[in-house]
Amino acid sequence: MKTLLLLSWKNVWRNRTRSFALMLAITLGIAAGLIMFGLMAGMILQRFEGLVQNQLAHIQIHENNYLSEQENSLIIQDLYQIKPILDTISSLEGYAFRTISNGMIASGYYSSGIKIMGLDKKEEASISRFPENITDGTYLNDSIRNPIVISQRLAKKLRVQIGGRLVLTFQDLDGNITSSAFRVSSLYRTSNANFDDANVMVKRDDLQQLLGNNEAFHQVAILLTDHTKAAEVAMALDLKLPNSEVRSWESLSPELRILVEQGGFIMYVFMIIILLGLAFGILNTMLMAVFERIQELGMLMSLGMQKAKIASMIILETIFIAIIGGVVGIGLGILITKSFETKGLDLSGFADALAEFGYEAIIYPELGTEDIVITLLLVFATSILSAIIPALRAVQLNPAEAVRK
Amino acid sequence: MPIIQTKKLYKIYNEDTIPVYALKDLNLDFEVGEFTTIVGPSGSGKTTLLNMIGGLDVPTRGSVLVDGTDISTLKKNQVINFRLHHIGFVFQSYNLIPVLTALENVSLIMELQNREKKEIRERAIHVLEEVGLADKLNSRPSELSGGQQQRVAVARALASRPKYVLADEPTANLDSKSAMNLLDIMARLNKDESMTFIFSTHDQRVIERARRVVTLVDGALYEDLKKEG
Ligand SMILES: Nc1ncnc2c1ncn2[C@@H]1O[C@H](COP(=O)(O)OP(=O)(O)OP(=O)(O)O)[C@@H](O)[C@H]1O
Ligand SMILES: [Mg+2]
Repeated sequence: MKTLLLLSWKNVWRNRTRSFALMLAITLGIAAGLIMFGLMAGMILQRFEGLVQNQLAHIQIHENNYLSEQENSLIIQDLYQIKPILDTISSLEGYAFRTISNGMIASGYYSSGIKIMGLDKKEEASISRFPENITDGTYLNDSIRNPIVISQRLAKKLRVQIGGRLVLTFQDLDGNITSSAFRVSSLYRTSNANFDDANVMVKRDDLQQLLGNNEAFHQVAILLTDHTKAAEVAMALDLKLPNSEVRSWESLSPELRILVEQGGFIMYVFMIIILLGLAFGILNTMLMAVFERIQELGMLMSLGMQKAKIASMIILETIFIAIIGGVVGIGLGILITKSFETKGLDLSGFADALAEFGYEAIIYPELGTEDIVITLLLVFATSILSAIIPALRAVQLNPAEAVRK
Repeated sequence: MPIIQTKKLYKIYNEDTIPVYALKDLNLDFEVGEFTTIVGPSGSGKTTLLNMIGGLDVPTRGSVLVDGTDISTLKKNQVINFRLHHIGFVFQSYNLIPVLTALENVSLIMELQNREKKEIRERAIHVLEEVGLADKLNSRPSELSGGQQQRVAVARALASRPKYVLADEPTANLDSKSAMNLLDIMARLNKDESMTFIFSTHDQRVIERARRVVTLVDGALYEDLKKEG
């Protein structure tokens, strides 16, 4: 075995140019694959965290039928049961009670349908990093009366600035239309244009007062320490809260679930395409190496080297090349990915286009150890598989023929 | 008992189309310690005969017995192992592995035989000394002359102490001085190590050095000349 390893290793270096070319191809393929892996994983993660932390959270509780009917009157009835139950969840990060109303927002120039989120700043702080999206002004400024936070996009359409006056119109809990004036306390901008167009934030107390009930809540948003536990926790809560509907992020945002589930799958499809290309290159190169050495292989067989050993020799040679190319490629991939991990890959030039799809302008690639290990194993497997044909070719030789000049 | 016997040996290529009788009814015995050359015009069947007694090819009819075993009845893997353990080969060209040094080339067979490391090294150095290459142990084939390369090949063939060494035109690519030098070495090893050598050649001066000359014509035995002394 040692002899075989040595012989294969030396054979790797007999046609340096060719071996280097193949290694380089493997290196570049793997590095490109990993960088793409990292970028996609990063984009997906950012999208996920963005949605979760802006508003979605991991689990939401609503009154039964609220999600389908969106009626303001469907306020949470299990209110007094909820808090103690939530406090028993071991993976609980935080929760916030929210009051919500659909309504109209209007300035002198423009009006539009809108979702009004009544938020409590302190409760929100435990589950959301929404204030990071504030670009101007102070988030739900306590020193002004009826503060409202709207997006930059909406402000443009409404032609208002900080301090500007807006009128919100919606139904109170008794079904009467009510209107009230709000003052723009700050502007925000998320990476999701649709969200920006449709959501404004006011203080929960202000909204409850206008609705006519200071215990009117429509939603409890819950954040866990581990997003993968959401479905399980939601199910348990649902059983304990008869009047409420408890749903995890997977069912609240099927789009997000698909993104998370299929993102990984798509990455592997890309990886496999890259590996197929490599397999083809390896196959070709190693076949060439075998044909070039027909006489020598025939001589070895004549001398008494078993076919299995000759085949192993060719496969080992391929593995050496693939491992060198693969390891360097993984190193290069990690290096490049890591170099963007802190400062991010800045795609600001495409920020608006990305925002239309809900992605951020600066992508922070994410490369898990697992992905790296899997990539290495895939490269390994690919090299073995693509060496099989050349190896079989080598042992099909008839030694008597091969050595006849 | 002879070490090699061919019995009614036939090799017919393309038997069902246009048959080529490469070997016809050969009945030959080879004894331990022989220094024998196979001669004959081009196409007379020298290579074919060496391939038969080297287990590199199977007879169409008849048999090849080595120490009484019919090697043509062995399974493929068994024949390969038989070659590895019992037969030494020297080819006309492509003898050596270019990426290995002389010492590594000579050691290769013994390594495939899983012999002990120390024994391999000592034996390999010893035979390389015997063929006059003590100072070339670590040279690659590309750094050696054609004659030196063939000497390494002879050293390798002998190193594992096979039952016999077969050489198909080992001197064909050498100038006459190197050819005679190689023959001297082979003759000496034949004596010192009492190694059986069977080799083919076209070279009259090489033929003169052999103690037995088997002449083939059109695949059949034409003459079997055993010299005295
Ligand atoms: N694979 C093959 N298929 C068909 N015919 C073959 C094959 N190998 C050898 N022959 C024929 O068998 C005959 C004997 O060939 P062989 O190579 O044994 O001769 P040789 O004495 O070694 O000749 P040379 O001196 O040229 O090396 C020749 O007629 C050759 O054409
Ligand atoms: Mg010949």
